[in-house]
Amino acid sequence: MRFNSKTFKWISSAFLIVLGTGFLFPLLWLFLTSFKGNSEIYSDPLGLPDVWLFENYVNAFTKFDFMKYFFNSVVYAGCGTLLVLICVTLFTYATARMDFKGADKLQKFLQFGLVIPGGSTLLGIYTILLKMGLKNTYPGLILVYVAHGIPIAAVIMYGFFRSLPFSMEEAAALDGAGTFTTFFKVILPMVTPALTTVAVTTALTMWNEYTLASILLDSNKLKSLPIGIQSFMTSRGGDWGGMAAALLLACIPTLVLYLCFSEQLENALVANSGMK
Amino acid sequence: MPIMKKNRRTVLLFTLPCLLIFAVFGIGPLLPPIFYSFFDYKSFKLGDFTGFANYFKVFQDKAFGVVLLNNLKLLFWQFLIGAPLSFACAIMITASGPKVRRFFKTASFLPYVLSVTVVCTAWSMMLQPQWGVVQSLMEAIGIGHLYRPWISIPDTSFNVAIITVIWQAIGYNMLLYYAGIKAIPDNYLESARIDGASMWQQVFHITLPLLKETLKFVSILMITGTMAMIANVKILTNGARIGEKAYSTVLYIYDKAFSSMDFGYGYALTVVYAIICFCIVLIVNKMIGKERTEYV
Amino acid sequence: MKRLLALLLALVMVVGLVACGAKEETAAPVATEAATEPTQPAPTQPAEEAVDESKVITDAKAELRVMLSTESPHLATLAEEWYPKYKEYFPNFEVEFDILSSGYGDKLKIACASGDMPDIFFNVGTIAFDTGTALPLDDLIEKYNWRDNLKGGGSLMPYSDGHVYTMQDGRDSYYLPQVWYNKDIFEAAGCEVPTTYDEFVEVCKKLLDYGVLPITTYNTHVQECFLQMLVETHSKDGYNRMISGELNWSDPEILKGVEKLEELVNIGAFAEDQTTINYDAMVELFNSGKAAMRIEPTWCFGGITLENFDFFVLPTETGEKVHMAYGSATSGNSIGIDTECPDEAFQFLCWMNLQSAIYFEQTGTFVDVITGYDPPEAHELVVKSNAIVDDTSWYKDPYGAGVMPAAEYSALGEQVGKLMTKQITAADFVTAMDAVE
Repeated sequence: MRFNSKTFKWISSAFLIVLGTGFLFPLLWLFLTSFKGNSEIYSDPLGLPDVWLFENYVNAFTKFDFMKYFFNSVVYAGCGTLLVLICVTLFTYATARMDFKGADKLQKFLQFGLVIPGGSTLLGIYTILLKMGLKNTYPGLILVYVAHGIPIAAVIMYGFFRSLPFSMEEAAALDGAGTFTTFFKVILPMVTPALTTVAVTTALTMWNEYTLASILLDSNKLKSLPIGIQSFMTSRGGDWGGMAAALLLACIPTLVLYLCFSEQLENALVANSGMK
Repeated sequence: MPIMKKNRRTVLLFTLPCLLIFAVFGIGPLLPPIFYSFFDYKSFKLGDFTGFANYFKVFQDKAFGVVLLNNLKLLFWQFLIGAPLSFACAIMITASGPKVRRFFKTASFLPYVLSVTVVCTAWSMMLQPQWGVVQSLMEAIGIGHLYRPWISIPDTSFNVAIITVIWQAIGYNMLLYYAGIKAIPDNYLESARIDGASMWQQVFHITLPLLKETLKFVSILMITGTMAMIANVKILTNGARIGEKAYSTVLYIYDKAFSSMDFGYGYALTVVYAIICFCIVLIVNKMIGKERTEYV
Repeated sequence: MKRLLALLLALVMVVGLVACGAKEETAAPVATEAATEPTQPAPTQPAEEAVDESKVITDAKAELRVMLSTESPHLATLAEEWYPKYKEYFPNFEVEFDILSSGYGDKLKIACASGDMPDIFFNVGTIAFDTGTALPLDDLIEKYNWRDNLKGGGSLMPYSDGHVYTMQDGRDSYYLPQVWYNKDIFEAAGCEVPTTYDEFVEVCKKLLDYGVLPITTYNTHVQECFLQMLVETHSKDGYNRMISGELNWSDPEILKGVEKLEELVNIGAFAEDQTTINYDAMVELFNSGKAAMRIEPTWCFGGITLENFDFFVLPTETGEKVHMAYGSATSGNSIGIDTECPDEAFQFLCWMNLQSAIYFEQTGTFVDVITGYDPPEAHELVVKSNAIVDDTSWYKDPYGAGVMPAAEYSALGEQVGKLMTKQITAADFVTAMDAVE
């Protein structure tokens, strides 16, 4: 797709560069803060540190069992995302492309999950997990995360599924393919960009989630990274430098994930548009 | 219309896992709140059955009206500035060279990758009165007298939250639009260009209409994200209680429940708010249009 | 380029892993600042019990869940580093520590609501007592003769129903709400330490003329202490009479206190961002000389890095000696009512109290628990502070916010916030407060 206008290209590039640089300031602030002591963080937020406090990074690892919490976060975000992808892709394929009564209503039912305000379900979730014996367990939190991630994923996947021509199934049926074959071999490869989008956003949300994790997890063996990072703060004073260092370290996997995936995403998109 | 008629077993197989998990862990937790909203339920003491009393209270609650307006204000600005800006950026990166494209995609998505805690803390640090960069910058260019501690002033506090929400979402929304734009086959625009259509005509008459599905779900995501907003306000104001002018609706509801310990009323607010949000989603869906887009 | 970046980030992670292996036990720092000299000695956990030869307190088996909140860096150190070293004293215990800083209140409330209480928990507010999910400790205190371990017994405060639910090391009774001031600024601005409340207001105005911020405090202090302190300046027991129901908010004694707050707000004695300021930013304001006075109890002493500072108690209108006695029946740690091993939980609670007492005693705070150690020589300001608390010629007005019902306290926070952002007047304030059920 081309918009052939040299001036437009020039103006847009300039605009994007300026805007893009503006987007970098929180990372810059985080980076500088991670090397400072408390008083400097406030008196000189964007300046270079007087003394580069590398011990903040040592503290980030030793304040709590960083690697254990990191591993836990990987489990929650990883399993959660996988489960969301599987469940939602199957579900929205049915509601978007299968003809049965109530397909529309089922989809709306899931969309209703989007509008449930967070705090109101805390007590309910806690009680349900408690009764099922899943409080303070890996599966417990994962299932709750999945339930929260389903609505948004369903909305995105539904949109993508609807944009594919129905002639696909026709052609596949003519070739003698059954439902599952059609789904796995024909449709699924076509929605890879949607899958990556859903995977990235779902994983990010679960990686950074604090409230549910803090309420549903009790043991240090199970706690996730956001809880560990928050431990640097207390109501009366906190170790901002240490927290910034821990935050930066916690961002790394998400940044790596994004950097790798965005290339994949771009290639998938290009391939997709070329296919038509 | 989907033409594949499937037997019940297949449909069940595809939809059951998702439905089960969602029903038990997503909708299940909603049942106690709905139940308690009909009672006098304060400090975890179940009082008398009060019927719709809590709901009548909701409609008479002026503060609820104020916070609702706040969220609608947020929604308005998201649609007026956030969405068009993201869309414009998406168009612009398609027109830019690969280096600029890669840079901007990475940079704009960064705020979304960093959690909302980092973004809002960074913003509050920049805006603080004694040492904030914004104040120093304004003084440097001579408009220092216009500086206010916006976060601490009830009338302007929520506006700062609005800015952070839009700012953080630009990159994400842009990527979704970009994915949709990329999915449009090249030949559509080629033929339009050959026919002599200008760039604006291409955008408005071809790209936008074809993006209906994308627009629909990006709008839904924007609506639900903004209606559920609580963290931005909490982090920017450090959990301060400066009155409903500065609150988002979810924060107000949460406050009523967990702070004032009036859960019965808080839950009634929740139900009413959920219904309002759902209606907004339905309305926007209708506005964008019902037909499916199909490429041939 | 992207590959390079990803590689760099991965490298940082590896370096971090290596650093992880170099984990050390750290002694508890007093101040969270890296560049300042602590004004008190850093407490280290004692290697031996000063009193007993055998360390083991009990051989019994028990599994305990302990839920704690880290309200300050000191409490964080205690919870994360001192308490987990229980094995020598309780060899057959398995104790799980659930330590939260943000969202602790919500988790406790949810636990109370669902009845799933931990064995031991840090108490916040009155919700645990009101829902009947906290164990009354009176019998256990008798059984284990805990009072023999206390100096005066002031650390055991009964709740309004007559039972003792919380145990603490007693330092709460020795926190004095103080006005810390920067002596250099006072001298330069020509201010004297005020002896009456009107003089205090004059000092604020004088500091404003001089061009410095008069008062800084942490953003929940007004509803916690300061409002009560203002009422005390003209009515020594008015605030507590209001809490017990004898007075209303709109009665003149209380209204006058709110009006005093309103006056301070209107003359600009507080920072423009006082309601939303971050705790560490507030600390920096005072330490960097931008604010002349800091209103906060004794606990903040260790974080003040000024060279020339002192404190005074907020003076009354007539110069009468009144101060707020910090500490209440709700502060401390409690035991969950459904605990399976109350005896073991209680013994562990006593041990935690002792550890806490040892820790805080070494920072120079007075504690009620007999630790068996010699307290270090306290800083002269701490001595001065303790002397006031010990001086019986002062009227001690009990800390009221601790026992205020949740709905009222929540409304108080909101009204204070609105008053300080000039959205309402003192009259609106008391009317709204009286309307709370």
